[in-house]
Amino acid sequence: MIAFLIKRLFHALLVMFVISVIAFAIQDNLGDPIQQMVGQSVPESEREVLREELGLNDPFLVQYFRFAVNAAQFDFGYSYIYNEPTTEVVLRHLPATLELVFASTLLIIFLSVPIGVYSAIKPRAWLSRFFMGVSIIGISIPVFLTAIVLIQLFAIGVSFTPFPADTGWGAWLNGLLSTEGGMPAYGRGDPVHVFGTWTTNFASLEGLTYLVLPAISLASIMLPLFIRLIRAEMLEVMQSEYVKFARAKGISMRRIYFLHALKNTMLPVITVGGVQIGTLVAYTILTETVFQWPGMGLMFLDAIERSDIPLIVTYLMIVGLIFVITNTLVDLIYGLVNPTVKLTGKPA
Amino acid sequence: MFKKTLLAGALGAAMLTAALPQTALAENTLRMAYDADPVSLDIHEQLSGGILQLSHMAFDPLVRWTKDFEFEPRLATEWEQVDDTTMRISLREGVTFHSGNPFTAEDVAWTVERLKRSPDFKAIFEPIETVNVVDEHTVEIISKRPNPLLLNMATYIFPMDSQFYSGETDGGKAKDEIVKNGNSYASRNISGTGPFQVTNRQQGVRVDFERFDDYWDSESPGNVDAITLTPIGENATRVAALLSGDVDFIAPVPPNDLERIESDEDTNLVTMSGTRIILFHMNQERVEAFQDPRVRQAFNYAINQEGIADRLMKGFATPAAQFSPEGYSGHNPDLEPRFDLDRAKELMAEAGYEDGFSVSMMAPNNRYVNDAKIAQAVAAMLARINVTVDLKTLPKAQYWGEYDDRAADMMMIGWHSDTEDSANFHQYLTECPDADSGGGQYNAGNYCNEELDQLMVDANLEVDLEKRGEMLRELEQGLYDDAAFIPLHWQNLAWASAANVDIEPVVNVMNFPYLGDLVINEE
Amino acid sequence: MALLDVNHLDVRFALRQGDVKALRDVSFSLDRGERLGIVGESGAGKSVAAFSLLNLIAKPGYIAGGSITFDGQELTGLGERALRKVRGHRISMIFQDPMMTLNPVLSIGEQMVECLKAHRRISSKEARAISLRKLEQVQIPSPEKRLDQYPHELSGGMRQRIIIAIALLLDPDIIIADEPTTALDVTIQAEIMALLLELCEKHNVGLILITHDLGVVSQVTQRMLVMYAGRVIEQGPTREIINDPQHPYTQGLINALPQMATPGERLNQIRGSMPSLSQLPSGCPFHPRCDFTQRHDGSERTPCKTEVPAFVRSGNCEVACHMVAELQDAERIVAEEDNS
Repeated sequence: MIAFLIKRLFHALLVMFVISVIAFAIQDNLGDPIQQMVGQSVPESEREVLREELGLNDPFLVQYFRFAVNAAQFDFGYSYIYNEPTTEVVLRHLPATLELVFASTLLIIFLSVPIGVYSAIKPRAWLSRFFMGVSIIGISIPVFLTAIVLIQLFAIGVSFTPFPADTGWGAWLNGLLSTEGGMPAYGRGDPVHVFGTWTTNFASLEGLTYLVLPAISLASIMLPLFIRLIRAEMLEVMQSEYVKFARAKGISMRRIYFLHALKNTMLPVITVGGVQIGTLVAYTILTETVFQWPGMGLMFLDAIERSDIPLIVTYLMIVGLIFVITNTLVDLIYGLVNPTVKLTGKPA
Repeated sequence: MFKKTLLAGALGAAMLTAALPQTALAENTLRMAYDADPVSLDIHEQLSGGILQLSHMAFDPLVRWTKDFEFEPRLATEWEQVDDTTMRISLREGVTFHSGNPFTAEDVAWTVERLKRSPDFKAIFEPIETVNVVDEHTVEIISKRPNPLLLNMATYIFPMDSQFYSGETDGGKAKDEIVKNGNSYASRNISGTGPFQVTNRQQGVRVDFERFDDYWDSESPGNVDAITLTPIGENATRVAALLSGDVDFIAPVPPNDLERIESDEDTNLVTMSGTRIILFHMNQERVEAFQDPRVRQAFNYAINQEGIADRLMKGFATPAAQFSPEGYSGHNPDLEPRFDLDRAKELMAEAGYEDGFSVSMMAPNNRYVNDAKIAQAVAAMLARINVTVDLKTLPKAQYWGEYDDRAADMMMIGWHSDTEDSANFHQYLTECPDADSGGGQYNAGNYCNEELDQLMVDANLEVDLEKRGEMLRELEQGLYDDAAFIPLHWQNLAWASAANVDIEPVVNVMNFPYLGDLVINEE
Repeated sequence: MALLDVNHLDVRFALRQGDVKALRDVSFSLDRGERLGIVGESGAGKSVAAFSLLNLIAKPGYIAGGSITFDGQELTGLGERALRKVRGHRISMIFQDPMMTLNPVLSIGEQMVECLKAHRRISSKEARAISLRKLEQVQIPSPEKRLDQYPHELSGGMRQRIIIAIALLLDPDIIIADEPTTALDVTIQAEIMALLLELCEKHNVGLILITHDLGVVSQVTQRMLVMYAGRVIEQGPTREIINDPQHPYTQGLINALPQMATPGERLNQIRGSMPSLSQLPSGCPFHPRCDFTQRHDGSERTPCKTEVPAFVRSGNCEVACHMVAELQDAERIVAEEDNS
């Protein structure tokens, strides 16, 4: 087990190293940070001075070497925009993203399992067909469109008035179709401070209202995938011999669905889905942009626009690290759930 | 749908009850959203719209522009041109800084000296030699040479609290140091004379202001007690925030949403013709044909600026035939956009390019309103005179590097004069390029006309504003006749607010809303 | 009355092209403690017959007609709830591949205890104790350890023993074993079969053994029936059928056994292959492959192609064959003539 974890740690370091080299190599194409820092009328001579100060004129290897030496001491450089250590900037933005991903994951799990299982048990029921249809739409609609639509429906409110509004029944029907709005349209509101850089939206009902729409948007990316995955796996599992045998033993269908079948269904779902959830941490960019959610995604976009190379490099490395951590966690969980596999990943 | 309404209703109710305590305080809080928050609290750190907007909130200038381009006295009450290079200015008495320190002439001198140190502002203040303190409430500004733009510059002099910014920090750094993207003292601590003090700042997230109780301008009608500024980068979200009632004031407003905001009875839209000129340069060094003024004129005749402003920008732009917008002294009313396809073809034929030629074109795609689309429209129009355009659009982070390298035959740029003065355009955009003096820094056309350059130099020494205006108009005429570049339009400005927030009187074409004077009406 | 009585059972599959008849007019019975073998080629309908007893045929299969009476109770038309009480309790099943039959992510103990708890109100401790006893009965070494192990940790033979143990957990009246040794190593096959036989004899449990292995059938079962294309074509005491098969198909099966082949020569095959259920030939389903559709004198035995043969009694057996029927008729005529 220890050997396994150490091997993974080594992977993580390797990944981070490769990413940092690539990020440094392409930095010339990331844009000129000086341009973003100074006003339009500042003469070239001034810009040159700044460039020298920031060490932007040194050759690639020199810059990288400087970076690597510092990185080994956990100093990843100073962000051009914030003029703080990049690690601090990233850490400040990390809790917001983690909370968003956490909320989305909860939504995904609590919705996809019942819907997926139901669609597998009763594939021809109209509700199952409805869910499958909606999930196709969900996969096709880009997340920012979902986000904007949600904002329109629930933050601003939309009124449909196809029925005559002056009649009692007409007005009532119109009321059913329209939405009130009232949800917060953007941001985290006033998150409550927990400790360190961690402020949370989970401490109050009001805090949670800020989380709802962004979490739904983010979940909408993955939810259709999970539903279809669980459904497909479950359908296959239901055809297996051990399910037939369980029936022949006279076991109740409920136990068969939710223990015999589900446990086997979840194995590939954990593998595939676990990694997808991990990638969510990196891909909150679009959702955070639309909702102005102050997490890592928004920070990264900002860094790209302003060519804040140290921050970009640090972000990419942290994301690489997150991927490795997520993969490791998924492997560990999988090893725990699947008795035929030892934790080291080799078959028992 | 049914469940949605119920859910929305339940949560909406929860939100309202959470919001109630705030309004019960009967304080006028303005919740506003710009596309970005100020990058620093040090107003000398960067010359940008965001910083200047902050300056008008937390500081006061010596004078400020009115809507009609007149100078309104703020911390300067009177001024007098004593001689060619000396201007005597009387300062307002009884003004205090947020820190409690009194405002004196020392602060003005200190501020100007710091401006001359600032990498961004030093070019503007280069003509100023020094500031002499005559007495506690009088200064004399000495210029190196006759300076007709002194008052223009004075709109950028926001006296800072010299005592507050003097000395050393705990870390041994000078409190008044100017550091780009700084961790400097001034970038995190602020003390001015302005209507609002900063009470809380989280970079990239929010800035909170509270009205300064000892603010000197008791005649200001403004009744805003507190301001919360949150940046919302995404256009659609910013508009949604306004429409949902989460914020009361937004800027900028994307052109696509103008109608929507106007038709909504709970929101208010104000638009104005702007002063940022969008134009294309034609690089004479790269393309020989561009050296022939007939070709340049032909290009100008081929472009339908009014069409672009009308249909592409949906009326959200003012077609231009020159640099200076209306209201600037150099604005020449005789110059109109010229669109004449036949004339264009004639000129091309005359110059021997009846069959046209191909050019490369570059434009940014996230800097100006509809920038990429405008470039495409221009390319399409040029096709009609047999010019094939190879267009490449780039995000602004990459574009400016290419621009500096003059990487394409035609390049787009938008420019706004920092001094609100016509000569500034020529100086940066069409002056003969000179690396030493910095002239023509953005002259991607490599256009050079020494006569016009001299005209500008003379105008900048002409203290008689009437005469100066004439010279500048002549300059515009010269550029027009020579078809030095292709002007397109001036971008309009738009602001939107909740219906009870009266923004119209406080906004202006410089886009410096004077929020100190903003009135929020009862709902 | 027999413990299990199957009468004219009809099972169909509702496919898009139309219904396909998987079982036609299948009838047999089983007494308490009796051991019955069901043999035939793959696709003959043996497994369908077995699964239909407990209504475990997968959709789109369904019981279209006939009756299944167990201990006086009619099983067809019984709801799931009532059927569940029978399954695993009064009638147990053993499937073919023990690796696929046991759920890989649940421990042996879990899979045994759940069966007990599904049918009786007992505590987990009691259930575990009973499971241990059954494991001992099937001669599993260190049974306490096995309860917490997972299927993949055990050998094929051990797994099948465990499945037999599961089948015996609630002391059933009948065990239906569908090819129980086919997936096992040859060396284990005999062991398992011997175990099954011993346990059935000891506890007087009825056994329906479905297999294509005639050797096993002859050793274990008392009666057997032969299926072809969804029909029973011959049934009777095992000894009689093996020694003296009447139906040409049964003869072909016996002839095809390796022991019946001439050393050095090819095995005796039945020519052709069994038809697909959706494209059955008219009349006797075996007639395309039958060597006896022509008489000695060369004339065609027309009913073979046109009529489905009915059962005729031959000794203690029942055979569905036109030739056998004709021969019997001829014998009777001769006997009558002799007598008159």
